[in-house]
Amino acid sequence: LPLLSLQFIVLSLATALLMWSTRGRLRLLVFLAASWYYAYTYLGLFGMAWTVALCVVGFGSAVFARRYPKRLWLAVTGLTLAFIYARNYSFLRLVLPGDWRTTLLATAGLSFLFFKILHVVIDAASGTLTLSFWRYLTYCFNFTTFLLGPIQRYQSFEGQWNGTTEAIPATFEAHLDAVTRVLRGLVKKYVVAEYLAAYALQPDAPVQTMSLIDLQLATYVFYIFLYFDFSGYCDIVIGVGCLLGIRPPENFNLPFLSPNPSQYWLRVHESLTSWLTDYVFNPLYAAALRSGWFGWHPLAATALAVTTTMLVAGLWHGTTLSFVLFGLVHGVYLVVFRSYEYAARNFLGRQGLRELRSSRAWLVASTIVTFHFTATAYIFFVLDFDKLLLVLDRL
Amino acid sequence: MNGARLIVKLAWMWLLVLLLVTFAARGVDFVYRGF
Repeated sequence: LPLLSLQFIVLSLATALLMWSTRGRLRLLVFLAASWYYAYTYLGLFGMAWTVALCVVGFGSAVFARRYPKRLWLAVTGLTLAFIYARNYSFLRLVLPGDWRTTLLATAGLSFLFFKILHVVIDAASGTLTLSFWRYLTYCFNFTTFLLGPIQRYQSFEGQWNGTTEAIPATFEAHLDAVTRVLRGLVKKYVVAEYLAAYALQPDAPVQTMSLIDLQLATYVFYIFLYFDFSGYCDIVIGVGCLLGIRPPENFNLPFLSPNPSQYWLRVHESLTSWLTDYVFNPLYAAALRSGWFGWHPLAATALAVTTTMLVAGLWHGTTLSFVLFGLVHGVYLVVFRSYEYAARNFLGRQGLRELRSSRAWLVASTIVTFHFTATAYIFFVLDFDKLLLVLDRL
Repeated sequence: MNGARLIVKLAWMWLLVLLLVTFAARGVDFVYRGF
């Protein structure tokens, strides 16, 4: 169901009207029915059955984790293995015979759903959320965030559902702004991104014959295209969410202006970064600091935690070796940046580093360098491993 | 919201609608590989 279609507009407006005029269980039923219809257009009957089953297993895991918090690792491992199997990761061919593997379960929106479920299970174990089955199911299928995020937290969803927090102020202007945001998103996605797509790097690009400068430029354009496509998509669903009364979190904040790779991850796909920080980086970093050697070497602990987090980010984005490299390259960027900051702070002192950072020339130069490196990493996002080897060969 | 502000906002919306109607390419939705 394309976002620029009469069906999507009717679905959004009708759901908003019905949700404004209903309360309690009926309101939940309206939202769940709209979300299931939307998901059904992508998944079909089999995909729906499998996805609902996954959500139910996720709910069971959350109940289990709340009852036995010390066995949380069991629930997390089980769900992660199920996700790896369902997405049919390419490395599975090394461990599973061909006829044991299937592509049927790699349904649309699975990666986002998996992270949402895992968050619910982990937070249930720590006792920071209260679960209700139907509300949880609506949270999982929420049609504004089902396919491509933003990854909303259950607490944020529930708070807005209960009316504890407001999606937007109940004014005419706020609703007008929400509609404008949808229109702005549609223009970004269906006008700007669509026209950029023709110049962006494609998976079937003739990397052996095109010049290296063209390859570099096409990679830059891919980054800009992806920004307009994905942030346009987010503008649309955030605008629709505001009208429905369940506002998804923000996801982009002009990543081109990042002066370093750390800032870049705070400005691009923010909801994913915050998920990875809370559920991968922080626990890993804390565990590393508690262990002997890393406890004495916090920079090494940061390097380990940040590289692993980026590897997880890479593997979450895709199932092939290229995505492992995408994560690894970003891990290297962040480790280099952290080491540089550490060395600069020792060499210049805190005050000196602050002055250097605030100088205009330094800011411009570091923004350009960050743009170049973060944009170039998208080559791993687009090309498969064999094509990447061809590029390496030419270098 | 005063009248001038409303007119500016409506004009901006109208411009966005015009851009969409005139230029929107109705290609296939870009679905990220493997998502």
